[in-house]
Amino acid sequence: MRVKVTFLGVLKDKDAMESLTVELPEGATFGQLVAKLDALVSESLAPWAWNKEERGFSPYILAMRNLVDVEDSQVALADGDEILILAPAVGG
Amino acid sequence: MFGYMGKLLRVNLTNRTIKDEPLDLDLARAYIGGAGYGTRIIHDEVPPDTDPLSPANKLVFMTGPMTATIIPTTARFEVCTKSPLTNMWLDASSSGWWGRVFKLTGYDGIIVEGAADKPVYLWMQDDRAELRDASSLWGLDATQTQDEIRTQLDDKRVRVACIGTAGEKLIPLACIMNDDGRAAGRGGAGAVMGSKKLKAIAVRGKKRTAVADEPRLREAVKDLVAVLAAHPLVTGLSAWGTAFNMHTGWAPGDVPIKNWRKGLWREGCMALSGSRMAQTILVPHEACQGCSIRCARWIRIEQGPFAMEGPGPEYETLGSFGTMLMNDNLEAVCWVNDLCNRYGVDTISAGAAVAFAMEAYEKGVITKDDAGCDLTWGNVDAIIEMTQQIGEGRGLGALLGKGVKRAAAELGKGSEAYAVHVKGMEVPMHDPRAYFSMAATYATGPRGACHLHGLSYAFEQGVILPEGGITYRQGRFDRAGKGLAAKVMQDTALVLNSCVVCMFCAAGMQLWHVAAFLEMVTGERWTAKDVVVAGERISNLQRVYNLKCGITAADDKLPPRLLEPTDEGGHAGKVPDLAYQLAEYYQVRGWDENGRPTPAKLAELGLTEVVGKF
Repeated sequence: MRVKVTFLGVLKDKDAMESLTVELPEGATFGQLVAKLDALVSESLAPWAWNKEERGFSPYILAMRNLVDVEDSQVALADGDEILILAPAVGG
Repeated sequence: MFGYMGKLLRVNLTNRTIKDEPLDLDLARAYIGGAGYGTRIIHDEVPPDTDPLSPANKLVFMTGPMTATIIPTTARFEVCTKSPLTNMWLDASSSGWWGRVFKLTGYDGIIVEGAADKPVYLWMQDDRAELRDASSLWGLDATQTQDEIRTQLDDKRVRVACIGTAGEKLIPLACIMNDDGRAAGRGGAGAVMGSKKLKAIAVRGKKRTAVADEPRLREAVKDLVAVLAAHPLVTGLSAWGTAFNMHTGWAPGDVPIKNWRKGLWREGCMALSGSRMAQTILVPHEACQGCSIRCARWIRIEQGPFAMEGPGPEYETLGSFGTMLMNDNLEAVCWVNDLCNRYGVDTISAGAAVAFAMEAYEKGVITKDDAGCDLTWGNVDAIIEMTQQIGEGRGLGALLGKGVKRAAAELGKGSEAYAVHVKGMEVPMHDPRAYFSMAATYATGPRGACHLHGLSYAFEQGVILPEGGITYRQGRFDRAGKGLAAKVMQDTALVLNSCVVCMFCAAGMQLWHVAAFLEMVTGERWTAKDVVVAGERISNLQRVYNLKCGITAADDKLPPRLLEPTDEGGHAGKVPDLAYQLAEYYQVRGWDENGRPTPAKLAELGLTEVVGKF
């Protein structure tokens, strides 16, 4: 199955990151997606966004699956899902 | 004490007297400076039954010990008064250069009292201060006023804080402008200034702020700048300014849409985002003085109906004049932002007032004859027309310029249901259904609904503040912990506004850092605990003042619209449990169930003199 991963905000330098489509086995979980992202994009993320030791997003990052917060790596994904990866944002 | 100039300027406009008075060092130790010291002055000198637009109200401009030091973002200043919008406590802060250049005249603050019989402006150069005739400036907009004063004084380095025409007309949404679009924006301080016929305060100071331990401060500032450069909350601000919020905020539902009725408008938010601004109209420009974050935006629109060059809109303005109105025209928002800057009008409240009017129009409460235009959602021409009416105090805009609370009271016909305010202050552009802590923050904010008296949703995005009691990332929809989050961030914001340092700089600080900087600057012993207590002391005195003004726990509420779930977007079906949050908030504050500080809490904070007097 394929899921789209969209990055919102500035996760490293000055520009938004391009969205990407990730191929996953049927029934794959968010945790499996994160494992794939480790190879695909972790080098493109700032140290505050990606925990290299734990190979996962830092507590500053909010992940959403089809606009619902992902609070557990065991959350099952489905073909056509959009996963949003949000940088923190405050101020106005 | 180091860090302070040691004196205040008291200006009585009624009898045109100007005199120096010493800064009270005991009060400086207890309230730090800035908003804190200003709280004490307003509490002590402005009786709670004072008409905010009468000569009896006072307007206090304050800096703090960190102002005009090498600490980044410390060119700011605070304005404290009684608000004509909410009829209670008001402090508003602004950035740019004015705060620094004012302090370097040799004063920590100015207390303006009385009212002039004809327009004047205050000119301060080093230790000298004089009132000058402002008849030729009356009627100029805020941008023209700044330029004209610099021309009259023949000095481009003069910095000017002034009102536009909205302040002259005593419009309760009027603000005080300075330095290319910076504003002490909320609550109507510009109208108070206008009521005193004080058009401007022009400053040119060349002194320096003496600090206690300059070598240690230099090293600490180097570290702070490095931390800020790599901080998650700062990266986006530096790249895209506060408009950065629009790029991410649509997903969790933080961005208000169509007067808070919708939960999702992805395309609109992206069209208004910092990313889009950077790709199209952003041009390089100077930052606020001494700021390494550089979130201030400067834009140039080369052609078309909105061709202009000037300060770009902040996130709040992109929300209030953009998504709130179903307007995704970035260039039009820039144009309206510039109009507001020139009139000297708070963009948050003005945009919210237009959103209220559009909903009233949709529901038939306002007609085309009333508005003088077709007030349909997204109609850019109508948005510009209503902004002009508000800024000029005419037509329907004269009503909207009083704020949505009063506008709804006058319009009636059920319009109160969609007048989105707390205690008369329009709600800023962060939805408490997306970040639940903002419910308690808004409901209890000392100046009404305010995101700057508590960016508590930072605690729901990974920021922790252990010395304040926030030790883990809160879930944004958690039921518990939100009263604590609101309390901690309100107190912290007041400390920062007392130091005076920008909240974005504080992203790189824990409370022990704040204490260490205070110690390096003032030479006084400061601990993180002292910082926490100072914040609590200021918060409690502001609460006491508001209680004296007639506010009760019944006013600690959210408008009904913000407690209705939407059926779409990142907060679909979610609403905060405000009653639960308030009970927790009062408990962690040490207040009784009626939201009143207890004698024991006041005594703990050294405020025994106010016990039994509210």
